[in-house]
Amino acid sequence: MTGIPSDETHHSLHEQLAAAESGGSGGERISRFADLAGGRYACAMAALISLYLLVVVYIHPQEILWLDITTTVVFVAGIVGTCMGYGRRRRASSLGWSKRYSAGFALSVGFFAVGVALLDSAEARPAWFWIPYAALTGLPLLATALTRNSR
Amino acid sequence: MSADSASTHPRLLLDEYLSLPVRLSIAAALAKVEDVEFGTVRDAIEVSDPVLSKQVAVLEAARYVDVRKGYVGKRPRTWLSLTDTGRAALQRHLQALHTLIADL
Repeated sequence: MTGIPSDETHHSLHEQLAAAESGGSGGERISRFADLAGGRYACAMAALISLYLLVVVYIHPQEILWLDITTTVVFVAGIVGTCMGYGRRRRASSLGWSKRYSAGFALSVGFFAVGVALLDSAEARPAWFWIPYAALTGLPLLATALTRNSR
Repeated sequence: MSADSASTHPRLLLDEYLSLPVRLSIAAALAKVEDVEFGTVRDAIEVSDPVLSKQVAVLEAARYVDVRKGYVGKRPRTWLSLTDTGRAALQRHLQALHTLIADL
């Protein structure tokens, strides 16, 4: 016994199929909007992390502590604010979004950390090196923004 | 007809929890997303709050749907997602439906 009234189990097959198709297309609409919102969020995070790296590259060698601290506070606040704004507005996540975003975010943060380590290494790098490197730092998150689940 | 073939008749694969169209709509909508807020599902499948709430409770009891309640600021928000069990049941049910309709 399931406790489900018997009249609920005898809807016509066609009626059930139509309900499934209608629900499925509703779900696809939700997924498209979720992809769009998630994509915008991932793009914003990519831009913030890339820009943060460029600012660090410019400011860090000057060894001005208060400027280092101020830029760190501003960018961390920007990143946290972007996260919170997305969390407040988010209504759905498309299939696989959490895994895609986590991987993209971890890779971007990894590239950022390597960039800072390179900055601190003894060998100085030319200024032009940092523009493509900053783009590379944001690339995983940008890829996350542009990737759609095929299911 | 052997006992084996009788036991695998597509009619027997129909899921009693998903035989109600509104419940099937909910499960089919949830199958397309990782998780979704209650109000968004309500708007997508065009049902009222009490209807959605009642049917989600049945699907939750069957362990087909996971319900997570939380707050965004001071606003309460309910998140729904289809469990692996629910996803498998939906797939079986849809497959059985298609087979039965093809045999008509």
